[in-house]
Amino acid sequence: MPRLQIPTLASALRELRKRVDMMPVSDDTPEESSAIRIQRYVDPNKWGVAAIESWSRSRGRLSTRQIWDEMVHYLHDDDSPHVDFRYFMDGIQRTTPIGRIRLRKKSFETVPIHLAQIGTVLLKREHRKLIKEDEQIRLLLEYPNAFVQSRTNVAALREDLLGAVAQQVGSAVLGVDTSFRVAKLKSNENLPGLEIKEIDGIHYPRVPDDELWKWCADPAQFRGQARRWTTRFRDIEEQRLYDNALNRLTEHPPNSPLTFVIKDGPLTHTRGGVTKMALGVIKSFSTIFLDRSQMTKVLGLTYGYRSPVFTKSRPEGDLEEQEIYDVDTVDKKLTLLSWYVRIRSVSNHDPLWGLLRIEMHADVLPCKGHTARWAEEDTQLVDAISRQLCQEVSPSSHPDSRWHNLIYPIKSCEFFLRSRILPHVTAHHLLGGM
Amino acid sequence: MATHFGRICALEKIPSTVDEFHFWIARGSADKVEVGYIVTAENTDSRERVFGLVTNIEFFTDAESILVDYFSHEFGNPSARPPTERQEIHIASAAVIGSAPYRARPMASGMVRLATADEIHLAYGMDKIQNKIFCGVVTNGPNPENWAPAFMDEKFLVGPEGAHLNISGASGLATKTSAAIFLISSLLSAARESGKRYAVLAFNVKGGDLLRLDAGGEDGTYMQDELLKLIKTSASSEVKKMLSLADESKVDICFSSTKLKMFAPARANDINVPNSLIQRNVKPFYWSLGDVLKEDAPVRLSDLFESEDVDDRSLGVLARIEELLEDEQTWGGGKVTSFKELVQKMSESIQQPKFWGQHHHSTVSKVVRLVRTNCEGVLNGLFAYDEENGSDIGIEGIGPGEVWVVDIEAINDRAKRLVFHNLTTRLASVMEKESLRPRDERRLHGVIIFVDELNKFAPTGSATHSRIKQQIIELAARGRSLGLVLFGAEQFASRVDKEVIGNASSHLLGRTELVELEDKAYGWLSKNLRFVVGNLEKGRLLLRHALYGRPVFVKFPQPLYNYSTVAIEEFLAAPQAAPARPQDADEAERPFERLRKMLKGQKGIHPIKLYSDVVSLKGLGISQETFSDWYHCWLGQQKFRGKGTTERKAFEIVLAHFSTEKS
Repeated sequence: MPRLQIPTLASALRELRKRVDMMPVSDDTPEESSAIRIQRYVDPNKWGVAAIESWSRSRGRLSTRQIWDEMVHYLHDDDSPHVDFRYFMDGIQRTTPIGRIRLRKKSFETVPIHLAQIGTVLLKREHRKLIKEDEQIRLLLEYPNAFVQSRTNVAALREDLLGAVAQQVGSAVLGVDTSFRVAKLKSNENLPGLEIKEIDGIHYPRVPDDELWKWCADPAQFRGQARRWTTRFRDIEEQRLYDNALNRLTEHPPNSPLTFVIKDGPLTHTRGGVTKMALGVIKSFSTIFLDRSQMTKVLGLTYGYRSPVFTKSRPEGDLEEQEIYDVDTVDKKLTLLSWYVRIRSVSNHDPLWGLLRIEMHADVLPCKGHTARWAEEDTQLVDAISRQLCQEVSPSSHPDSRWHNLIYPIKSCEFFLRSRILPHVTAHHLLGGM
Repeated sequence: MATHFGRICALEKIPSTVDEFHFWIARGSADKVEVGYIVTAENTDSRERVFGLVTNIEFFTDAESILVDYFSHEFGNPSARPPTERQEIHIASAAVIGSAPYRARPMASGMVRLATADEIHLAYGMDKIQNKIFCGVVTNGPNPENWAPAFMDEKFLVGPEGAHLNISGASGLATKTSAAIFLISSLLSAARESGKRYAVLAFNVKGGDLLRLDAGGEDGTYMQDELLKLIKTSASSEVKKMLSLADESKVDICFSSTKLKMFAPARANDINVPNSLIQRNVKPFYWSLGDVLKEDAPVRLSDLFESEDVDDRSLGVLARIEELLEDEQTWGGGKVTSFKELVQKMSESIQQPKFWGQHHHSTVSKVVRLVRTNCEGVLNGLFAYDEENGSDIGIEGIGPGEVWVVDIEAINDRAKRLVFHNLTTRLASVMEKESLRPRDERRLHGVIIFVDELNKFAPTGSATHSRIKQQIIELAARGRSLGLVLFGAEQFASRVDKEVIGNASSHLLGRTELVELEDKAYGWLSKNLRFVVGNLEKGRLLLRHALYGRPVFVKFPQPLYNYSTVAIEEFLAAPQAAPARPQDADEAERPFERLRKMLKGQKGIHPIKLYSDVVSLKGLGISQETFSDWYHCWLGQQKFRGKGTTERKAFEIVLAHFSTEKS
């Protein structure tokens, strides 16, 4: 990736400001604003969620209903396989509004211009020490270029502003036209005349100008759009990092066959071979996959117990924008396994205290995700993973408020990434804002 | 070029300033830097370099409190081993020594590595010194190959720009005497090279180190040049490196016995024997009544007594005595020449007013008593009570390159002060005359006066002994203009008058008690350097020189007289030290070779231990010391020390002992 000097970008933007009527902004609302998230149940009609674990150490083969009557104790001492959490991966994104452009003369409609930073890192744990294996830092300049060009009555704005910046700073900053929808083109949308943008072989349609015109009165809409595009590119970067990790592992196969890459968050957007060694560790529970009674049992888990493993199939058909942005046909049928695990004693704490949800590709297990083939080996592996996660409670991740279920290597990933990207206040200054 | 192991970081709380910068140390490189090392921070873009003396290193992890770490170890299990080690970091602080090119602004960024020898010289301005005095080795890093020679400027060590050296540190650990001796040998070597003429007057106030300057090893068995050769082939790489750097600077650490003269006051009641720990080659000296009555005598009659014993009336009597002694016929029967005679005449004439005029007879009696008790008692030896003529040290004859040692260890403090006062006053007079002929090539350029326990001669805040103290202060303040240079040493610099300390342009500080380091005399030391100085290893000192921007830690080669017998035996046992035996070697040498081979690889075979282990040796009726002497001679010189049969028998017993042990 070409190296970008921030002053170069700043001078390019200031050059732009001379030509276009731009207002710097100082909206310092943090990306990680602590809005209260309401938990929501997934639509069972779209998501395939079903119990898969069907074998109990004490009771043998069980039905789906029976297995949910008994939570699994994973701290038992047996000859379960040794699992090695070798790699840890996380990504960060920061989208900062850095300026507003007056769309029309004698009018106060504005469109924002955002600077987005995406950082992804892969840490490797060797001899108990974490070292950086790979990282990617990406800068995006997000602006509804096509929309502004079609609706403006300002001569200077009819030019390609993103192209003008790109000319000055090269490929180090990627211009993203936010006039396009983040979700891919649906099958019924292939209408003649619909403007399409292609990224990595996926087609994204234009958001109708009329809708964008309404957004001009509500800058938060553009901001949401910018964030979604940032997330989209973050997924691409994370996948790239995964692929690199997989290549490394193929070149230097680890001694232990059960080597895992731990990813912060779900594996929903993970594709390719890496899924066979990736573990998603989810510590927020805004989406609930289980039914009410099962979830109640999960919340009642005590330390050392886990829920039975259940499947989490990806939605079929066309996806909602908020759910998924990129699914290729090969991976569409991917089946993810998931379970909840309690890694700390709850005591008098919140029911979510020390609770984690794990995601794993079905192919990792010997039963390959088939309920009928579930056997003791599958239970042993899931237990071993849960037990290893339990080991990860030390060292603790203080002073982070999520320390009870934030494992230390992931915290280190976050710490590393925060050191790599610019704070909002610096980004604001790129256009001379305060 | 050393590899970079750190990078400058400047934060709001710990900013870089013109005199300090901070850097983190790369993971796995913490062992490459220690407090006291000299580092180079370089900005490869601007090609600027800043040199710093590491004054502090801190280590911490990302655990914000000790409780967090406690929790992380399974809530207080010391043996818990979490799967991941915490992120950890070493942060070092460095005091800016200098920069290239010169800059008076903080270093914003740069990578950090150990400074090279050239950079150390550049940082401390040693590269610009014209008349370099090798003063030790800057041990910058564990690898001796990176060590750099340290130089002082002759102009600032012996004048005229600045002068004097002060060495302080704990007794036995700071190696003050060794440091002074090394610097003296270095200075004399440099003087030989540059054609300057310096002499040394050293006062031995404790132990016998200064009396064995020309000895090889602690028991003096070896010639110094032989021992030096042995050390150069068999010592550790560190010692070899120091000696090689000293060689490069043409420093000869061997003392020639022809240039060494030793004196000691005579023993009480036996003027022919020196009152010294070592009798050999030490010449006794003493003063008589005539010596204190000379017009230009530095020590007058009144100086013989404690100042509190001598009131105005007594001084009047003493003045009267000097008047009376001028006339040979005062008391009849010729000139009074000895203290004994003086006491006798005074005692006889106490009641005769024609001698004493207005002085009360009780005052005269008191003075008589003082003269007798001092000259016959406490100062006997230094002052010959019944001798007519003294035998003085001819300090006026001290020559270039000579080292004169005056052993004053065995005499009391007052006598020590009198000797010091007498000799330094006379030296000042000599140097004053020398300074009147600046173009004379044969004149002395300077005399170094080395005195240990300086606190006894110039104590801080004390009115007592003020005359001697004033003389030392005078010497420290103005001695350099005459060429008199004071090399003083003491355990506690806080106990020495601050004018004496302040006038020294060079300071060496060895290991010192932390309580002492809290004194404001050490205000120039940062808190962390104080801790380091408080725990310095033996043989490493902190050097501050007028020309340096910051102090620097140095090591120096151990004086040759200081090598222990055990150490020398180890050198001898080292494979490379075994001399190749000539083909036609005399048969008589073979037994010694056999003994050496038997001892090869066996460390710590000390003769005293051998003597106590082998019972039959005691049966020969020889003492432990005699056997030790023989043993060293067999191993070192490969010959019998004497011609007696007992020694041969002892040798056979030893051979048989080792043969049995080996089999």
